[in-house]
Amino acid sequence: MSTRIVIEPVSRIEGHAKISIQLGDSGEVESARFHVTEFRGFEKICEGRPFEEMPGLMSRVCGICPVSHILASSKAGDMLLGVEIPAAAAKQRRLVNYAQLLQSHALSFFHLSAPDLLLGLDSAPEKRNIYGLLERDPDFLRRGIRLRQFGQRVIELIGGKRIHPAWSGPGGVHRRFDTAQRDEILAWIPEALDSVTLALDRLKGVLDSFGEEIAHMGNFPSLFLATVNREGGLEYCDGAIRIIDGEGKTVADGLDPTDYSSWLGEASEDFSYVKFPYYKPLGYPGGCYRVGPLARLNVALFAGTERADRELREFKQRRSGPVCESFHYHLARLGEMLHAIERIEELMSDSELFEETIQARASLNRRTGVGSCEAPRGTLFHRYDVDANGLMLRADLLIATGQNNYAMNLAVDQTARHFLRRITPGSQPDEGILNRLEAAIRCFDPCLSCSTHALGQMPLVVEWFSPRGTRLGQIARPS
Amino acid sequence: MRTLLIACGNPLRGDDGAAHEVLRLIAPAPDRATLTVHQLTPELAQEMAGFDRVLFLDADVHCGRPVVEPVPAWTSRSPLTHAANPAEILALSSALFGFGGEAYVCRIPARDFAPREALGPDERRMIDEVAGELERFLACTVSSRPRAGSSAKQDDFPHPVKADVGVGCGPGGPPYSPARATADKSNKD
Repeated sequence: MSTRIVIEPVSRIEGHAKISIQLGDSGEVESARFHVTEFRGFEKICEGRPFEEMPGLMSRVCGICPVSHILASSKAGDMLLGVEIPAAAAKQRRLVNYAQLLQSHALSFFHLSAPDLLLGLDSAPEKRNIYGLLERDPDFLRRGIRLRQFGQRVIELIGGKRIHPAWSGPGGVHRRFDTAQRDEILAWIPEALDSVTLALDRLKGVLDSFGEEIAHMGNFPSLFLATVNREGGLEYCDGAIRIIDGEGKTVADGLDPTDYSSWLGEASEDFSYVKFPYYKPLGYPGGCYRVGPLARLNVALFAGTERADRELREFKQRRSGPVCESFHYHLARLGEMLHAIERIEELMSDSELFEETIQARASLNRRTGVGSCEAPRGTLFHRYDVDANGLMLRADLLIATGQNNYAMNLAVDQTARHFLRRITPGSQPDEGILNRLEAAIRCFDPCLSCSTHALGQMPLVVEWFSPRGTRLGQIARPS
Repeated sequence: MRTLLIACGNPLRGDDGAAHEVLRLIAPAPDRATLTVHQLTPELAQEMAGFDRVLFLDADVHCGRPVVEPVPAWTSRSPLTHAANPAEILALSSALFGFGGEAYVCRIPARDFAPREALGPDERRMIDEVAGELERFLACTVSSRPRAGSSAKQDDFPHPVKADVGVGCGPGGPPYSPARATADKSNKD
């Protein structure tokens, strides 16, 4: 008799999701899927509201990466106004985006994934968390906490608060940057660089012990999509989209992100509230792609900063073509943190950042505005259609995690097929195996919502169902 | 006594924003700092360092009346998400950043966390009362209470630290008195 295994909720990710595994009559894995089970409806909430309100409203989509939504939303607003924003505003946005990248990646690596990576995927679940790290390596954990704090502090200094800062809007930003802020930020830089370098060394030092996971937890060729600058280097705010395939060949280059809806489509599946974006010329699912740190490092030709370029060269030497192992999202994330810190330091000596003019003033000049940027988890697009009074007729958000949806499902399926192999009737999967299924998802660091309430106390429950839906068994992981 | 007040909750989720509302009513003072957060996250561990006393304020659907009590001792568990509880933050702060002060949690009764920006009418009325009692608590500058995170039972405390609205005050501060609290409330009304 075939059996279904359900892992719900998937732990140490942002938001609410579950994994289900369908086993065949003889216990072999038939399929595995990653389901996103929450529904937000922000696009509907926006209808009828003035477009100027969108950055503040859209930032509420997420408590981890609100800055990305503010940036994409502000840029869509810039387009509706038909303005080019002042250099100081553009550089502030860039600075805050790097800070957000840093704090979000620090959370992902040090708080959520380091327990797996440094304590082991099979370590005791009650120790496999930051409190286990606290016992094993307090200095490492302290550095991780302070790195995230640095990123948040930069956001707070510039945006006024660390979560949902409403300092940016259509036409520019609302607060000037000053030398006191610069001095505080500069004081953090040496420690931040040291901490990321240490984390890189630690991760590289344990990679050999994860050979099987690297090879079988989301290792497959796919398209990779990311923003690049004019020279083809890493870019997080303003640039064009490049897509490469699993062999490294350029599939598309110089794509205008404001025109994304003409070359990206979205398919739906009945098991998830998140859609499955794809590159239209290749159809669904052949045009599905990966975004985020792994994609950015695969797509970019260079980083443009000294330390990050050194890491990027080493990263690219891992394979003759693109690095296709999803496990290496972790490595890519750390490389990006290094780059973000270097860029933040560079910006501190950029005189344009301190200029007085921070707002371009105009009234509504267009009826459609599109903004995009590289969020920590990948490329983010906001498109707004407004009426003659600037009231929202329609909002369309294409969020990074959604663009990794197909790849996350492939990763879960591959992990289940390799590590679960065959479950004999009456037996239960090993907890470490179940953790690998979750770890496959954590590689992507999905951000499924900004939901904050009550989730922290939720236990992990794995339930077994017959094909007719009868529960056959349950494993509960304590909260 | 340098005190940090951390209000936790989401003001867009009805009564979950009660702690933010209470904090808005607490008078600023040179020896007080405040933080409003949606949830408790590990970096708060560093924020606590340098303070003598930390007070976590949070809405709670499981308490019928406002309560202030020491943060309980941390016991190992497996946090599943980004959120943490006061005991975990306290453990991190003590171990990593040398926090050695007192830590308390103030639980504010709440009922409805459905999306909306306003508190429920009963919760709205209670906010003033909670803020007033917290002001009294904050006036306690010296404490004989055991350190937060200790395994001491509540019975061990020289003054009641878990009481209806009330809080314990150590030597040097006004002793807690339910009768006085009532009288104060009457005067205010």
